[in-house]
Amino acid sequence: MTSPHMITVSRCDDGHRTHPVRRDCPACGADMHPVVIEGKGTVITWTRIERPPEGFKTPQLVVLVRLEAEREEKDPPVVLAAVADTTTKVECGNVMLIRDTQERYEAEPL
Amino acid sequence: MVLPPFGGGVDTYLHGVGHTPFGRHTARLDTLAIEAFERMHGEAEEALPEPGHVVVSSQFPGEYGGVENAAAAVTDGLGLAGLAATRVESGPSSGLAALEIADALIRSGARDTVLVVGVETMTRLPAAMANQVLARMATLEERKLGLTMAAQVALMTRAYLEEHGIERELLADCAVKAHAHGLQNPLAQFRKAVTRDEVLASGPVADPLRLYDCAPLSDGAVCLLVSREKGPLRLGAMGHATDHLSITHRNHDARTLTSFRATTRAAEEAFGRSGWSVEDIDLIETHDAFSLLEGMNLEDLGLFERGAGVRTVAEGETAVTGKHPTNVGGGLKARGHPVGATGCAQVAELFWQLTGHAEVEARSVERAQGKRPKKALAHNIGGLGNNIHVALLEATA
Repeated sequence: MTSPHMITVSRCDDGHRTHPVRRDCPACGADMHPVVIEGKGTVITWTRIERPPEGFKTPQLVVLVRLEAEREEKDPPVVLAAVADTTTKVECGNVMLIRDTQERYEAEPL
Repeated sequence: MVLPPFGGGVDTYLHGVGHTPFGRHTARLDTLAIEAFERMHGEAEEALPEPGHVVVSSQFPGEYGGVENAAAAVTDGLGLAGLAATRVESGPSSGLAALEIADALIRSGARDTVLVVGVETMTRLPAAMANQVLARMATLEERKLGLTMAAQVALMTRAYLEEHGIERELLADCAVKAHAHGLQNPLAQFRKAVTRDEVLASGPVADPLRLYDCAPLSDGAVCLLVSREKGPLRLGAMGHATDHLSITHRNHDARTLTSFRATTRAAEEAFGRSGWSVEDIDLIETHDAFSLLEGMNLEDLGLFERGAGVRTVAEGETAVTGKHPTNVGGGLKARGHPVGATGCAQVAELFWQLTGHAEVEARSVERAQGKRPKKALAHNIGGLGNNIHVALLEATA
């Protein structure tokens, strides 16, 4: 696939997945390996940061997205991402696409 | 869960406390520690045992206070050079981390008496810089998004409100309750009542959290003197647990956005070692750095049903006059939150309340409830729920 909305998560042999990539499975402790999956999912919570740390513009819009579960997989990964256009109206349940800009993860409405 | 006692019959007792006012101070870190130490000796009714070790809790002595090598600096400042001195840090739960290490030094037989000093000076930096330092507790990926601690808790707060169908106004009521307690605490940073409307109209920080939903940046110091010699309070047991640094790595826990499981683990350890249960506890100090947390923490500690915590706090059940008095000194929200000193301040409040000390006359649980509390719990959170301590204390008289 050539979609820009592919992101790397970690998967263990038991089918647990998590993000960002890490060595050991947070669910079962097994070794994890990186897999590339579509960065598409549903907003489960979000915040608009009006008092960001030094070095960031005001505001910052951040969403927590639960990626779409493939049927045979266990608890889907969740990804924290910024919405670049901070005027975007966000609600829980919105479907978003996430990409890895190398600088950070960014989400945009589908 | 039943856990074996440890210490070979040795118990740890709390003999004295000293607590500076919390708020803005111009004094240096080591000078604030001296003030807390002098207050401790000033209010002691009997001679205090001599410490053999100083355990200093300070999360950011260098970044915030311009002091490194803080254990030696504080110990020398107190006139105790020559003693062993160690600094400990577990994020904003460092205060109870210091008590945990002091307890272990005593129960192991290494020391008879240990002085714990919790101290932090946070107000010298501009707030955006101070929040950047605090944000370093998060993962690199999270920091790239501009996530502050408030923003991370804001994500949880929205999830909690949605999951349990709670009106946002009830969070404001939790802040109102904290301020009402702070009003009765001469050492508190905020000694003023606020209304629900004032909380809701305060400046936005990270939606849905507003300024009055958040504990302030604070300076302050608190000393605790603990010993194997019998004293007015016995340290029943402590519990301690961590969790994954990032909330996204807790995706296999269905309650990841509406609880801190490290709280539950730490409480289970403390209860398992002491043989107590949450029903035995007469008075609680919990880490309410944000308006969600008093209610959520009390759920995690097993006191309230899931989803009932915020509503129960808002309804007044945890007020000094309520069924489960909690944070009667104002909590982090109103007393202030100098991170390295907070856990020690929680213990100081419990010491005063359980010994019927004059310091807490205006907010006496004994007077409000008609009997003096005997067993108490302190709960101190590091990071976004990823390094958590619970301490159980009991009056010996």
